[in-house]
Amino acid sequence: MPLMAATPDDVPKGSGTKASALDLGATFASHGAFVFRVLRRLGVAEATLDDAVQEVFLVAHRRWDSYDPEASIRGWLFGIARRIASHHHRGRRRAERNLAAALEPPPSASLEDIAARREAVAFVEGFLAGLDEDKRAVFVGCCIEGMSAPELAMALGANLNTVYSRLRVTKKAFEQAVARRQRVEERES
Amino acid sequence: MSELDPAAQAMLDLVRAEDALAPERGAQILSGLEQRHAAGDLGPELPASSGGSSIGTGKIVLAVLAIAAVAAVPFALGSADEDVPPTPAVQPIGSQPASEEPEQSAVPAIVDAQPTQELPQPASEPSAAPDSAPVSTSKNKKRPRKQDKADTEAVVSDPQAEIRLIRRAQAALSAGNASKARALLDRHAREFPSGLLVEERKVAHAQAQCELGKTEAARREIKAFLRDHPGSVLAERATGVCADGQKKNPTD
Repeated sequence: MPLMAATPDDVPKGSGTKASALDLGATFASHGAFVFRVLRRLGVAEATLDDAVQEVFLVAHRRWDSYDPEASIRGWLFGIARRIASHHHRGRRRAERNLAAALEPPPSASLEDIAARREAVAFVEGFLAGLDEDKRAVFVGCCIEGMSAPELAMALGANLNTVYSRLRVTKKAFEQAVARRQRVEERES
Repeated sequence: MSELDPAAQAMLDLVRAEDALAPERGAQILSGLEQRHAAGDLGPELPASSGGSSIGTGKIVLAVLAIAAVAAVPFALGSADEDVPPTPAVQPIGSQPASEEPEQSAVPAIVDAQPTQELPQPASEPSAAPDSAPVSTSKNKKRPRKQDKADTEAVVSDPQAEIRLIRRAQAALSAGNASKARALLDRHAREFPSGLLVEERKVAHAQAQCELGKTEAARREIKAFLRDHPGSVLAERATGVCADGQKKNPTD
């Protein structure tokens, strides 16, 4: 797997300016859905997910002084979300327990569609649940949310080489798991 | 960084697309956030690093570039990663016995690829392994592997059989045959205790109970459903089960 050199463009920039306090409403409007997805995929239980989202923004508001306006606020929030998630899911639940609302279909969806989507999410949940918290964070950030490795390294305060290493391992493991799943399905069909 | 292969990426795209925050729920979260903030809630205390680095971006980018330059060397040489112990290939705790089919274990493939990496914990959390997700696999029912009950429940899945059962139960309910519906749903519970359509089963079962006059039982089931499946899209339908005026042939 080739390693791309990190460039400054790999790390999204902030606006360079900073208000005296975080505007909770505006920030939530821009990044609430992102934080919600990240927390869910980092394993926060559905029952506490809403609280966890709120906590990310409360902490962001409290720690606004530490935010560098030159940096990506998305990455900054991801770093906070990762800590909040760790705080929330010490007792990790089995993957299927998180499925209840993880993939709610529209009421009109057919049973086939419902089953297929739940099966796909269950598969990914199962994979994520098998990762340790560090690998899970980089896989979610990179492969589901599209963050770059340098952005993740900044967000997590991690060594870039470590981030690349974790990504390489988890990507390969995921591809292999998907391939095995396909083989099983092909044998059955 | 290389891209995922198309099949793997498609899987993740589906998850991401389906993981959207519904506007109503977003509004509820924001409302709660504003209330907590107004009440002086500062959020939980986290380690000092939780907000990310306060170092200037320029310094961070330089550090990132420097780290990347160093990182490229071991990758180019194909050597081990920096966070990986130098000693190779220790069989991970909980790895599967050699007699098992390779594709049944989530771990060996990862071990083969990265023998010295940190590894997912396999055996103690069966559902946590990649292959443990409920892949449709009737073949798994026949394998000679010894499993505990939870493992079996997590692995064995037959979506088409589930769909048929739930569909028959729903049809029976629609036709006014609640007794037959309940029997079919009970069968689903036995055969697919952790199936893909558990929510549909629970709500339909409560409805059948109600139709059979088991009002209190139906309400208990709905209460449990709302507790176990918070935020379910079926919640509204569930709360309507055995609402006033729906009670038929009361027996409890």
